Amino acid sequence: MKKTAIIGIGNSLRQDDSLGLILLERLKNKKEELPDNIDFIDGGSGGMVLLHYLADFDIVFILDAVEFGGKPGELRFFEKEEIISKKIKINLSTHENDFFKVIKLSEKLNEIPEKIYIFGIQPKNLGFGCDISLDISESIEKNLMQIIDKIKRLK
Amino acid sequence: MSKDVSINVHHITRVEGHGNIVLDVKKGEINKIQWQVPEAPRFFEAMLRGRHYDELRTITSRICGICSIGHSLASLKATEDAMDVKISKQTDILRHLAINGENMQSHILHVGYLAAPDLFGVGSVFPLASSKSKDALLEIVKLHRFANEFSELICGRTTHPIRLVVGGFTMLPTKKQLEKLRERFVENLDRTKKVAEVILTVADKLPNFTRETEYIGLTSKEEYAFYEGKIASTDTGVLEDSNDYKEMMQEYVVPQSTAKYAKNNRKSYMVGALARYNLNSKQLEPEAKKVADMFGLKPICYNPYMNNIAQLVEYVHNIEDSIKWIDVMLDKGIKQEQPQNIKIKEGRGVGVVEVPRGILVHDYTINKDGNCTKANCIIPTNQNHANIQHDMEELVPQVLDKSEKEIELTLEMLVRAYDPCISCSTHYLDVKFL
Repeated sequence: MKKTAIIGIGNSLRQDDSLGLILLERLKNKKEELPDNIDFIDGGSGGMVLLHYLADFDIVFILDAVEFGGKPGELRFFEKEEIISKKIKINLSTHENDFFKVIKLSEKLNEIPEKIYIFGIQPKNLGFGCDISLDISESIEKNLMQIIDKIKRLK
Repeated sequence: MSKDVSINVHHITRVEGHGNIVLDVKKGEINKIQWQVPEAPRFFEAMLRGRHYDELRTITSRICGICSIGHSLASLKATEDAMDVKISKQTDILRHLAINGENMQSHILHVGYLAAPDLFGVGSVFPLASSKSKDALLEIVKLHRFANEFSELICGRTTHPIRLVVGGFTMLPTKKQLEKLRERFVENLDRTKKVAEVILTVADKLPNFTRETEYIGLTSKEEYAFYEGKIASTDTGVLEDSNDYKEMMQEYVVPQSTAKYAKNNRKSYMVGALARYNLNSKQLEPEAKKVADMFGLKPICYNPYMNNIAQLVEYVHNIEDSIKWIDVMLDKGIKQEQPQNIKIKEGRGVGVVEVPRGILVHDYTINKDGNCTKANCIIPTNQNHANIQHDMEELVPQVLDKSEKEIELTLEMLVRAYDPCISCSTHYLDVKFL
């Protein structure tokens, strides 16, 4: 059986940057709607620790705030290959491209999961604070349904 | 020589937190050399006031994302000292393992990811994956992963431990887990030696700079001290009572830094792996001694750049030491101890441990209700700032004939050698405006 994880990334002190973590918590609460045997991982604000998480799994779903010039709260789905080939013109994740580099490193070290799927949500405000923007909070429920649907089809 | 040099490294990379290097040389005259710390203070000591004794560990763990186990242990020791709580031998062993785990995590992260790029002549760890050093990097990643998993097994989490509480542990590893862990230690001892051999091939990139200074750390008759011991200095010897730590760690404030400076016998001193090595090298385990010999490390070593090598030596020591402790636990059998019922008692307590970057002190006063009324934390990097500044002052005239780029790299490597954890070291400053 393929080992699967959903990893949320974000800094809960930087407003909309916490989206990945909020979605992770919400998905955990909807476990029964998802396939069995999925690990839920709070990846925090990223960094090298993600390299170790990636090495442990065959399929990884990433939830993260991603700056791609969309509307606040808009969900964009993409795959590892699109990032590695840099086909996507976005700042992948709001963590100084850390995660992009970690994926590249994981690939170079031959530890990369077979599949990495990324759910990126366009943030609005990334200043200090624990509250997320209103437009974003309104989009969460809809995004959650789409994410669950996608995971069910891909797992 | 009449050259101009202007270096302004605004936020040096590959260190924890924010620090600046400023060098201004006009016609060969040095006008300014400064190691600056611009981080904001974090008020942790003030946060502890009024908090119940069983919250202190959880709060202080958050001072650092790297030394969270060490802060937890210093906090527990201070709390237990204040309230006269005794711990079992098994708890003592598990805490020795916990501190080894943290030291391993932090040292390999620093040597492998933050310092090694300088030795291999690249800007960060990422290009190493595309170089001929790829295999060595993979081994370093595995050593880091192992240290993380070891910490998780003992502490319940890699960072911000949850099993460590006042008086004991909330959950214990099983016999089977310890047996498996022991096997992995043996395998990783070989791996570490291989990594050391690769680092040796580039160790000549470490500048050969020495400046006599004082080294302070814990020392113990029983062991190479991390968890237990007395505060000692290479200049002034052993301090008999740790409650008097302020006699040896005299903190003061300078305008260029939001973090405090510290001194004892001289104008500055150094703490960390090299300080521990200089004080306690005779107590290293055999394989660790061999790695020290490989690099020609001998006490007293006055070259701050060799702190990187002392960290590597300590990683090996932590492995050998952990195997010994695991053997004791497996031999005696794991007792299913429950955390004890704590009787509140008022008093003052001091907890001192060695964390990756040096000696750490927590000092608490607890009242009859079990609440903290006063707290002081002395952070390792605070104690190193003055020494970094004085090293720079002595180093710059020796390297002024090099290019500006080379001088900058030499100074950056100096700061990185101390493995500073700058955010942790910024303190509340008592300032009066006149």
